[in-house]
Amino acid sequence: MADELPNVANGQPLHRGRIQAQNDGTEKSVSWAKSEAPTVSEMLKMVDDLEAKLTARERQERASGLEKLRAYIRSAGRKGGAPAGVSKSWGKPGQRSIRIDLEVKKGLACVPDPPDQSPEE
Amino acid sequence: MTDMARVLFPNFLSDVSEYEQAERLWHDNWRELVRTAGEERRWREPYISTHFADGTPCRDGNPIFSAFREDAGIGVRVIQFDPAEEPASGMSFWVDTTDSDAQDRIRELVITCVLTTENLPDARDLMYQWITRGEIELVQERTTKRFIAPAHQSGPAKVLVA
Repeated sequence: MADELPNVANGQPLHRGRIQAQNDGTEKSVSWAKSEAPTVSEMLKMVDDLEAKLTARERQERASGLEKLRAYIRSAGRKGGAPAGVSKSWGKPGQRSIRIDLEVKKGLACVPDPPDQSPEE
Repeated sequence: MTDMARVLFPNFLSDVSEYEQAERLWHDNWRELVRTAGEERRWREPYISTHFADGTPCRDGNPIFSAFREDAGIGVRVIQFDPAEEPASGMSFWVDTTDSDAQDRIRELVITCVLTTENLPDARDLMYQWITRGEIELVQERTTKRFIAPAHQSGPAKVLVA
């Protein structure tokens, strides 16, 4: 059940992607499609939003994946961001349906925050 | 994992040389498989970015290998786990569609494992099936189950037997 994407200029967002929590054939996700690349803070907020969609059990099962996604977002922010074509999954062996995915489909994501808006580590 | 299985490149996440050797191993195995299948011209690799925006390699094993066949809209992605964090016997795969937008849809086989002498042949088996048939057939206790690889096909690769 992907989020409805916001309207963007000319219907052609420059930056697009999604994060999602897989769960045996169904998924809960948060997507972006924007004219400006989402910053580290915005991406971390999306992770929080995704986490809020999960049940307590789903959250617990994906706690490690969510933390690895957050760590990746912070790392990417220190290296200029994550480019289009990045596709990552964090799960556990033998539990393939319990995982967190990140896809950067177009443009950039996880770009550094402006200096006065950097998230606390 | 049997007693004979051995973890390959156990320090790949901290040792650049080991990481590059592991990458090379996946690449060489893949090239051998597509060559054997006569499909080497159809596939390109990698198709997933493994760099940050400033060009720095990510080198986190996620993925350590990827390949894409454009005319069929199918891909393969291998995620290599840190043996210090995950059990070496753990190996899984799934088939999924990577994007909800029809024009970008790629049906993708994803294999996740610790790289061991036992897991590598299983991963090769999955890859070869994917190259030659675009589907995965699981064999368990002499019973064959065929999956036509719709979205969300998945299973523990350990059920594969020679």
